[in-house]
Amino acid sequence: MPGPFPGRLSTIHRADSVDPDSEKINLAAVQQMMRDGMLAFTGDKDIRDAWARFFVPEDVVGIKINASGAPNINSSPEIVGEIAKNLVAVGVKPENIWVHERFQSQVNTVNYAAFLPNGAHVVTADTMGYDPYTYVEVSFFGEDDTRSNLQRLVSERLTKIVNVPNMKDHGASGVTGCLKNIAYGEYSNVARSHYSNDTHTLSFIGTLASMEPLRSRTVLNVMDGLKGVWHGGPFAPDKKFRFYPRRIMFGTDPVALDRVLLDVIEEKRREEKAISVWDRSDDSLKPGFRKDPNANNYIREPGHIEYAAGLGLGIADKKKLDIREVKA
Amino acid sequence: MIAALFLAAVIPSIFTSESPTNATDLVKAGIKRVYVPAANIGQWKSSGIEAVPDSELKDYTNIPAPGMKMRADRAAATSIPWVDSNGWRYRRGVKRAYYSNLMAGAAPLAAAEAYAYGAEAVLAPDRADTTATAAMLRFLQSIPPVDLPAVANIGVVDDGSALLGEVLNLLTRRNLLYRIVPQKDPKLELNVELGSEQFPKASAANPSDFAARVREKLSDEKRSLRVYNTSTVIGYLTGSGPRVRLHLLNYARRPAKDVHIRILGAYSKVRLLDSADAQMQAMDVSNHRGGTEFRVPSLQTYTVVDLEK
Repeated sequence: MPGPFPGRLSTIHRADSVDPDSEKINLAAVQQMMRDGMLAFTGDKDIRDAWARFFVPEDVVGIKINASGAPNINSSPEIVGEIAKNLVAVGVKPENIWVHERFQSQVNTVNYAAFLPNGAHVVTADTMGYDPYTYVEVSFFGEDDTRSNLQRLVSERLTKIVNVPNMKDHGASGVTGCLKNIAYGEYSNVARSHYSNDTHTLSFIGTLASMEPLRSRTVLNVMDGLKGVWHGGPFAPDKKFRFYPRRIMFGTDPVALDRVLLDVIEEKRREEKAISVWDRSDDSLKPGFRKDPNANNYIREPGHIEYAAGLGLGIADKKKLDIREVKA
Repeated sequence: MIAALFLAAVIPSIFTSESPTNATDLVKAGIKRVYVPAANIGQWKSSGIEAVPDSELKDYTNIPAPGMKMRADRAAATSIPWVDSNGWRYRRGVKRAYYSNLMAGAAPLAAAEAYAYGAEAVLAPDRADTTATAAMLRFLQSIPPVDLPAVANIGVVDDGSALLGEVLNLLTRRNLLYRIVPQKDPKLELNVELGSEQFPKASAANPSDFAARVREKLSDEKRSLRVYNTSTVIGYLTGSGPRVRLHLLNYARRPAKDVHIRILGAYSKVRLLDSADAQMQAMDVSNHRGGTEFRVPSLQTYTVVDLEK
């Protein structure tokens, strides 16, 4: 990260990609969005050329899903399936495709296997474990366990990662997109960064994401914005806080995608007359975050995106972004 | 670090108000005598186990059941549980303990806890725990005895107050290794005396913050023991020179998975003795930045770790 295309991203919208009432996803629409969005991002004419820019047949590829809000909001299995199909098309063996998350109980609620080629794996850190030798060590609030260890799968087996976050509001970091999905999603012991009303997500997200080998192995981000969460994230069991951007974004630069995500969430919150994710007032710190869009659990830190840019992970200045919008 | 005050490990005894119907399990566990109400002495005569009247427990300190509570009434981002450990009581000087009120499931841990800290203990297990307690006692008897002193980084001058007791409790729960000293001991990395310039009495008003301050002044680099990836496991380190023994107690009912340990010093052999899995071995053993690190795959209740240089 930020890979060969810093600041560049494509975003594709299709109105019939998801039905808001049933939340059922239109597979044919997703397949077309995955193709056209990827081509717009790379500038290629052939979809195999686009994927071959990032993957070779010898690769062992991890697809980092987000299942923290599953089964209500998670990386859509339709999108994950299309990614796997494109990887196989460029020669990656199905047995070298590893869909992964941290917690088994969350992944169990979604049938990813039904969309994957035979031989592909769906695994979690609960069974694969964490690497004792690769960790970020820091004490935020005097916690005794000061280490956050990288998933073993990432450090010991994968050569590349496709990151598939959702478009979500987040009670501590403001939004959760590409950066947080590979930072908090690939390491152990990360919730310790929040305590009382304070959170250290500002610096911790970028620091975790910038660690090797995670940084260099994460070569592509496919942000699943078919469904989204505008308040109560990351879990958002309440349907009234889900919304339907009906879009997918592509890029190698996680900062650029997250910068656009920030605007999407802010715009929706304005529309719903909710406080900004930048609100740091004491008045907003009150109980009821899960139900009240004007209540904060923490002083949120959406500045984590700009902080990550400062670590060299990408471009946060919107004026410098090359945003390729595709109308399906 | 400094090691001192060896306490020899003793297999706990049992108090029971029951008739000797469960004596077979107790005999198998190696229990040679039980404490019983004086009125029951006669029933036990032909059981093969010596029965002792419970009046002899008067010299024992009554201590609470060990365990863990989730504090659902406390709002917090992370659900750090509240661990009820008696380690601090033993480190403060309790040598004979009576666990008189053990709810179902607590007796095996109580037995392990008393054994680990070298206390002479009597347990009054719930009837449902007879088999599990007997299994734990058999395990304790299988552990090769060693004469190893406690390892400490911190000396605590004990003023006898309840407040200092709570400070010791929090130091134990944070796996900060200490020993009670009559006065500051310059051989230790840090000395704590309430009322001193470094540790004014007012600073102990919040014992948790106080323990955090002690840890900060000691620094993590100097800690002889670190325990990662769990908030329910407490370690008690003994030994000196080429050999140390670490006692790991899990205060939760569920096993603690992938508990990662760091002990200062380079040791080449790491051997586990686990109460639930006789085959379990230490994983990911390495010498790393001046310490020995390893992983305990699954810690149900009690694991003894022997390390040698």
